[in-house]
Amino acid sequence: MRILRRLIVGLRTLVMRRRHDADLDDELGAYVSAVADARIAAGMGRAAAERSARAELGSRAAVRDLVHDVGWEARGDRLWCDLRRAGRGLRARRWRGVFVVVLLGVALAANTVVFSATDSFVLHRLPYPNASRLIELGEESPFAGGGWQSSIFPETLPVWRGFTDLFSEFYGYQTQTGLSYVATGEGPRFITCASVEPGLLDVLGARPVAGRLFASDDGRAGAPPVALIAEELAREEFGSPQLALGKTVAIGNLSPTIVGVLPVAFRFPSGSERIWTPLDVAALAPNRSVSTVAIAAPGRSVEAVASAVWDRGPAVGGHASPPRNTIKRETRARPIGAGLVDSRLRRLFILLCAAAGCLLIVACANVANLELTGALARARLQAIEMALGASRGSLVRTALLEGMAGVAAATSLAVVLASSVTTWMGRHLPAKMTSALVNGLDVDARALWFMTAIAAGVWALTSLPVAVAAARADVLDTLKLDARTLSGSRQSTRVRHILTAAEMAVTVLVLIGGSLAVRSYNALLAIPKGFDTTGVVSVDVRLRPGDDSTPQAVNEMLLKQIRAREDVISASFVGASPPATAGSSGGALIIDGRPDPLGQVQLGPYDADADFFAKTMRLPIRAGRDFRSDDPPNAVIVDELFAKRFWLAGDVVGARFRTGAGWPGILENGGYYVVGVAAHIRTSRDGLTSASEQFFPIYRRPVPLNPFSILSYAVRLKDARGADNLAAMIRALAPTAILRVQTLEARYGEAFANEGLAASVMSAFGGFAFVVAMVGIYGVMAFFVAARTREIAVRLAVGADQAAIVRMVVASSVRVVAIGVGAGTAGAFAAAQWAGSLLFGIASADPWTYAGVAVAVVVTGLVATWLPARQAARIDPVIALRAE
Amino acid sequence: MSPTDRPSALVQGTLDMLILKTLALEPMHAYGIGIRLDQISKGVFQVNAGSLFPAFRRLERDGLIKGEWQVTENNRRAKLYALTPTGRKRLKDQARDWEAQTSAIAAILNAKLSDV
Repeated sequence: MRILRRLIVGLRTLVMRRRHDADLDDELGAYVSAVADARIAAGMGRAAAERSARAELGSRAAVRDLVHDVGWEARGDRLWCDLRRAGRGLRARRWRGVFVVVLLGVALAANTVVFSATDSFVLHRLPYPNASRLIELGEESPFAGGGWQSSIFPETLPVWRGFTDLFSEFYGYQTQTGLSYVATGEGPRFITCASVEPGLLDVLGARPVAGRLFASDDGRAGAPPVALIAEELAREEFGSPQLALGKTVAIGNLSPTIVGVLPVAFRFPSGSERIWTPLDVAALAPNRSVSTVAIAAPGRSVEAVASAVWDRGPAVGGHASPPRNTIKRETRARPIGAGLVDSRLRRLFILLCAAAGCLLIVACANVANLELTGALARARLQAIEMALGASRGSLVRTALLEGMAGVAAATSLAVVLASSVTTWMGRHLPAKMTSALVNGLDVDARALWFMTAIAAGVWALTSLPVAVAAARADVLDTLKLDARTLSGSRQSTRVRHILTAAEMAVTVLVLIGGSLAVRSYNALLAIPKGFDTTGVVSVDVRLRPGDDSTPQAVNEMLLKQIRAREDVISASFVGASPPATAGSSGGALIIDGRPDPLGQVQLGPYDADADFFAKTMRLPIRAGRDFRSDDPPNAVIVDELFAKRFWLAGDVVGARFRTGAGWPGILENGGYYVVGVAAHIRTSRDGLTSASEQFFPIYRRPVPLNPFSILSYAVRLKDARGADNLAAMIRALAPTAILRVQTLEARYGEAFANEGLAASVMSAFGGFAFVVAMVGIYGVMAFFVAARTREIAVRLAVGADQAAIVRMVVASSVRVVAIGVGAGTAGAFAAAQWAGSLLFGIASADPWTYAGVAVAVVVTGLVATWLPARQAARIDPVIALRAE
Repeated sequence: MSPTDRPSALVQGTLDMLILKTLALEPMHAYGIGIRLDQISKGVFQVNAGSLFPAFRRLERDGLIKGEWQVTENNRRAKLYALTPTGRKRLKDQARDWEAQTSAIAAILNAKLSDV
């Protein structure tokens, strides 16, 4: 009741403010008259009595303020006043305000973009309900560093599903590489598909935007084939999700009917699947493998389930048909998503986050510097305000509010910038990077929270120096000093110098990081490929299944036509073109005649025909021989590095070895049989994989084509510019095929997309920080010169020459620049030790990079100082002193 | 008593009570209240306008006093403050509390070891 009463009274006071003020004024007038009357009655003269009465009351405005301060509404009133003052302050900043907003906006946006990318790429949250209770089963090699394989044998799946004490739900799925040729409305496209058991999508929280999910008997033998497609595919191919229902897509030689459309945000198992078909595990051949998603039973922790799976694994394995692997693998369980993030990528993104953070620090230091300069210039004004009765608290409040308004404007700008950059990234980053993401690349609620948090930090950082300056403002001292001497005062100069040095240090840090990243990327690109890549293009032809002509026939026809071209030196059929590592297979390496496995390897197959080594790739055979037509199907030519790593010189030719699983025709014939050793060619994993999982190329005879094979050719042209003509010819020969023609150089470039992205982002950050820092040092020195105009004029008047003035100004910045560059270099050195494993072909302490950056920053810093210095030397003492 | 050692600083919150008491005797205008406090306290409490007017505003908002413009004996307009029934009740409560507190404090200050 009392609260309500107070509320009403306060509101009434606010509404009737003028009447109340008039009433108070009348009352104060009456008070003065009453005092004067009393004094006159006591014998004082009228004039003297009135004067003394007024003196006794003091300032009417002050009494009025005291009365205004009564009541809750006074606080809102004060805030409104402060807001108006802050608004005036911001307007008075003009270009400086715009600069601050843009600077902070860009820095905030950079941090938000890097954060959301890190969030998607590294933190890898699963966008499914119950994400923390989702488990996948897989097999792990018992050898140290053995790889994890996220699949089990289909015949064990029903057994695992039967353990209802461990799992409340258990489903299988498969991704169908090689079966994903889809002909929809517009024509053939390559789209990745997944087969999922009915029910799995419900568990993962999929909600169709049109149609339905799978019913329990979808996918069973005899049921009509159905499919779900992604919303964006529905829009591209059919116009809208509704229109897509009832249409068909061609997947391989099937034409399932579309029964539902899933929203854009739904991604499973990765970001690249656009079509889902129902899976019937019972119908799978026993030698296929199936991936799993399970939910831990209520009351069971994921760890408890994992250990139970470990215990029951051997018994379940007994249900499997005869083990195909000579190497034992053990069934394990782990949380879904546990192994998705590789440590290099994590380290890379931590580094990018750090760089973005540095950028923010540079921006903050710069803004704080600018604000401090402005605040000192306004110190006189503040002193006058204080003399007139403004409280220290209100000055600090105004400073904080001005900062807040600036940061709020910058944050709005940052939201716009960050969302457009992220959208752009989603479209333009190499598909290799984005397709694996279960989370879309976007500025989501988490990113916005993050941005708000750092914006608050920025606000504190940039407003604090100004607020402190306002809180310590001293009326008398400030009014006594003239504005120019004050702004150059020793203490404030020191603060600004510290800020500038910090800015320089962080800039040097980011620049060195950027330079190392760029040089490392260039080194990656420049590594010898092991063969002459000039003029070599790769041609991938994906045929439409079910077309009349067989792949064999198309292959022969295409090879014949390509080889017949005048501009073609040589053409070979290859399983994949370098630097691809797709289709690799491996496990623990066992060499015949040696009892123990020698380690974990992955071997990536390249098909090599008669022209491959000699003409097309021009890849030297180092030992043994090239393939012969009578070689058995398990004959291989191994990579030089592979041979050196596992065999003594010379004894590799004729050796036999196995790697757990292998391609068809290898294990049946007693493992790989080495006929030769080829020079090492560079693959996309060179220098990037850890020692525990090494990848080596391996060459085999071309294997028979199946209906879903991709026909890949390496073609050596006389001139790589002929690639377009070659593509046009193939398109005419196979009009329904999906075609990709690329130079090998371009393929190598694409393979290092992560490093390329890091290099470009780091150098962009470095460049931005550099410009900002230079503007910062220029601003500080220009202000310094302006503040000392009078002193410089006096020096000139008493005979100092211009060179001496320039020296004096430049000398004052040399120390700042030197300290900043020194600290930055030391910081970069320490950071590079940690990030050293990300670098390739360049030492983390590379002296040229450090020296180059240091020299560039010092020289630019001195130039930025020299401009105001020259201006200072041109001061006309007569004019400057007269102006005083 | 020199101005510096005069106990002019009122105990926090007591000014409102003193004003209420003054008005309980008779309705008065601002200057009169100040003078009356000065007289009764024999010059110990000299309350200036900067304290009086905010106090009036506080008491008026709480509905303890009510101001009304009237013409004084000197033929001047003045705002006369009078106690409301709520104000009278509040004064009674506060005076009782005050008595209890001061007698307790006095007892403590005059305490001797033999009393304990």
